[in-house]
Amino acid sequence: MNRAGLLIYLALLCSAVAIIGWRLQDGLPLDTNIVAMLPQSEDAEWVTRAEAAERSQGSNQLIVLVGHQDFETARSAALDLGKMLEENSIVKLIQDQPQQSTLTSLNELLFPHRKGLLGEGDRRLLAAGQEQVLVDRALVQILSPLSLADAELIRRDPFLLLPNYIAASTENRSKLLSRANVLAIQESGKWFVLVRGNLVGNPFDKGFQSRARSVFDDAGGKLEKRYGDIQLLKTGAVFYGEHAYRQAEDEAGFIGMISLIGIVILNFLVFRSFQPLALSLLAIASGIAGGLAVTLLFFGSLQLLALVFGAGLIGISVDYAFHYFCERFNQASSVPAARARAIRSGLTLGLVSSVLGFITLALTPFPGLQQIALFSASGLTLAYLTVLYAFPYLDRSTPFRHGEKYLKLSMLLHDFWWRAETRKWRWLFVALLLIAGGLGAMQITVDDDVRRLQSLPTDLQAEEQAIRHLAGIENQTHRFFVRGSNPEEVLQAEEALALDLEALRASGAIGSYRMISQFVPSKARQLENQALVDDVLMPRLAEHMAAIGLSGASPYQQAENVLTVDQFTDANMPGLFSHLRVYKTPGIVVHAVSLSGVKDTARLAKLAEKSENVALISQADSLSKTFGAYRLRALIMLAVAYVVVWVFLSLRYGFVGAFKVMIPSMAAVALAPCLIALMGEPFTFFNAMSLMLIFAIGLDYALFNREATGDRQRRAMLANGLSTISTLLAFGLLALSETFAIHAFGITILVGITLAYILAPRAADLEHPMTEPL
Amino acid sequence: MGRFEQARYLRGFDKPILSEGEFFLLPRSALIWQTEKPFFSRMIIDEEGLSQAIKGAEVTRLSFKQFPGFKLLRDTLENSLSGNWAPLEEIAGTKLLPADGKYSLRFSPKTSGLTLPFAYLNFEIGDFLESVEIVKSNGDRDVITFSEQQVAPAADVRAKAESSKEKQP
Repeated sequence: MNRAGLLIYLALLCSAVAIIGWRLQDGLPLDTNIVAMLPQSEDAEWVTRAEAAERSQGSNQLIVLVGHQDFETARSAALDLGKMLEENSIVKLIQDQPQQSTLTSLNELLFPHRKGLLGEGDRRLLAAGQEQVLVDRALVQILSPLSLADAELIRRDPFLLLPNYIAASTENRSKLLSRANVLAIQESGKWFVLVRGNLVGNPFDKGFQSRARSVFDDAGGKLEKRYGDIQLLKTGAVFYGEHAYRQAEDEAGFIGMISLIGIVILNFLVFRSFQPLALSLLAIASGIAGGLAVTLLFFGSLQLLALVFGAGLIGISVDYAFHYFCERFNQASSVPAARARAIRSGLTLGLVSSVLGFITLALTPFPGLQQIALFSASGLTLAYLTVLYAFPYLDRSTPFRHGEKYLKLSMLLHDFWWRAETRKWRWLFVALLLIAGGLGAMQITVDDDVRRLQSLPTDLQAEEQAIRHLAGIENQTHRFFVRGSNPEEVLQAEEALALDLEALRASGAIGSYRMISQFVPSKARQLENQALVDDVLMPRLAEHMAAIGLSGASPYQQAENVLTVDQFTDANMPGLFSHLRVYKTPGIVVHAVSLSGVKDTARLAKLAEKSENVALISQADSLSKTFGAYRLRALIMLAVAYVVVWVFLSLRYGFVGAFKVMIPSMAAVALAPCLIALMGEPFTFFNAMSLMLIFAIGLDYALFNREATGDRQRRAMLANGLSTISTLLAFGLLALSETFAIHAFGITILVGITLAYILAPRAADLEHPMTEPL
Repeated sequence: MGRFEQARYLRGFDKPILSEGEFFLLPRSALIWQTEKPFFSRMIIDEEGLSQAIKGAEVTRLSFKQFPGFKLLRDTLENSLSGNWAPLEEIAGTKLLPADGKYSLRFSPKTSGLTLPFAYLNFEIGDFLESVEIVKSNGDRDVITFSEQQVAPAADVRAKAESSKEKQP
């Protein structure tokens, strides 16, 4: 059996290494985009596809203001920066400032259709029979000494319909002014020139984040060398993402180092030998290899969260190793195989319970949870095989001659739960725990808002604030997607939506909005406009032409067709609109509607609910939704997992016995969120996921207590104590992190694992000890 | 403040488009251009841009952010109307030329290295600015003749501009 177990372990380990090598030929396919963890939703499939299309087009912007006292210096530096960012494939620059040639070709394209192109205000005036305002406006504009209209334009468009249409639809709402083909603003004696681009890569991708940051910093250094004292103000999701990742990495690195040192010291202190440490590393490495291989085999790529939580769960493999090495305190046996045999029952029951729990978790349609489950279950299985079948072959050591004081010390907790003289203290402790739990339960607040979960760096926020103040540009937080089966349907849906948005704008719920139909109205709208112009404005043409001294026939000839979106390429569509064309396949066309100055998201959400062809999109909201859904799902599956494990453990202990064994783990899982609520901590997705770890580890502690009899009880208690200290060092210290997710994970583990350890001895049954090994 | 008459000659049009009215200059604040014939309208050009209104309702707003060239034209008008010739001589790169007891100045943005929406400006100057001719590159031109000009404290100009609104039929 032992040899067969070893062979199976070796075969699985080699396969895992081969799979990892095969899959990682092109680097680790790590996905840090948490939105991608959402389950595929049937009715919002078009939204998912449009979002993916938008991401691939690079909807996420990078905005920089380049500042210098001298305009020309600021301008050259800005152009250089844009060039460097574009050449290094970080952004595709947005032409905020249309070139003269673009404007001319735009005019030519629109001119034949000018009768069908009316701004919203002009349309309303004509519909209300107030054409005189348009006639007077044309006269005023023609008479002005600062007139934009020349003889040629006035002759072809005496009512100046087109220039007024273009001015209304492409109104520059930022504070920037166009100068020498760039957008700039002067503030306190300094010029700031805008550089704006769409990110070419995914701002959630770790590789892209660090590349973008390093190209940007490099470019900043070069600009400073070339132009001297240049000020760069930057904002964009990629900078926030990169900062968050770096902070998490730095903190995890620092805390990880402290915990590693702690664990090494703990090992030496208790075992006084290198061997346990080296073999523990083998168990962990085997576990991670197994988890990684199976996940990569089934999913192709790895979610960052799955890696983090999965690796955390594989940390349990150290606990398996502790139980093995604590058996070396057994002076009665010096045979390594006997050590493995002594812990096999507890280890097997613990493993099967954990794996059953994870399989339950994998049955959810949430790809993130499935990955965590698969990663953990396969990783733990390999770690289990390492400890039971590889350790005895690698372990040639004799029993420890020291350790009596540790064994005695670890029994203090066991005695607290079972000695008659500590009975009233036990009741007092349980009562206090229940009171604290009850008080905490009343204070639990659920919080899935990702904006509060992020710890935003103050310097980046200050830069974003400065950009908003200087340029009046803001990072877009919300937008709509509008769907139709062809462009005409989408444009009509946009025009219907515009009626509601206009009301929201009037009430201050939003600042403004931009949609393609403001620039290219639907065919229906253009025909309506043409009819209005023909019926209401054209009867005034002869009189108007006479007033300005223009003779000849009407210059307003009927265009053969209406203007369509398809007549524009991305290059000749004004930059304000081109990025709003999101997705087009035969049968589905999706446009975005950009919103700025959003103050009331609830009213926007209501608008989206009115039509299945309109969806409100918000990165932050969909992340919050993801977290909320995962939190709830994780809790439900945790409950289901307990039921499954109960059934399994009943096979060995009976229904009541199994329930008793599960009580410590269940109590720790139930009490941990209550106790951390007493500290003022909210309950989030990250806390819920930590409960999975407490579930598995808590069960292990209890099972080892239940399975250990006689003198083995002392060694099991010592191993549990060591597991607890190492878990708290590895994860509990994360509570010190300033990154919310890591902190939430850490604080829950800290409280939950401590509880699980303290309560575990109650799982023992002194009257019915397990004498028969599994 | 004073009166103006403007003749707009558009290439290929039968006749010039004529207009006349009053102007009020509030230095470094605004130029109010009140057209009374052929119909009443008001244009206010301030630091931000120009806005045109008919019967008190705005019909056009043009921001200098969108059309920065017009900012210079506005500054030029303001300087010339207030007799502040030094900055104009500086950007024109030439001095006022005396002729028949008056002066003239031609400002051609292109030779000054500027890209502006006109080819050149001709100023005729007596005690005050008497006329300005704005010539566009396509041959269109405006001739604006000024009369009844007087200098008054800003508060008086403002009060007069306000009371002049009453002329609105």
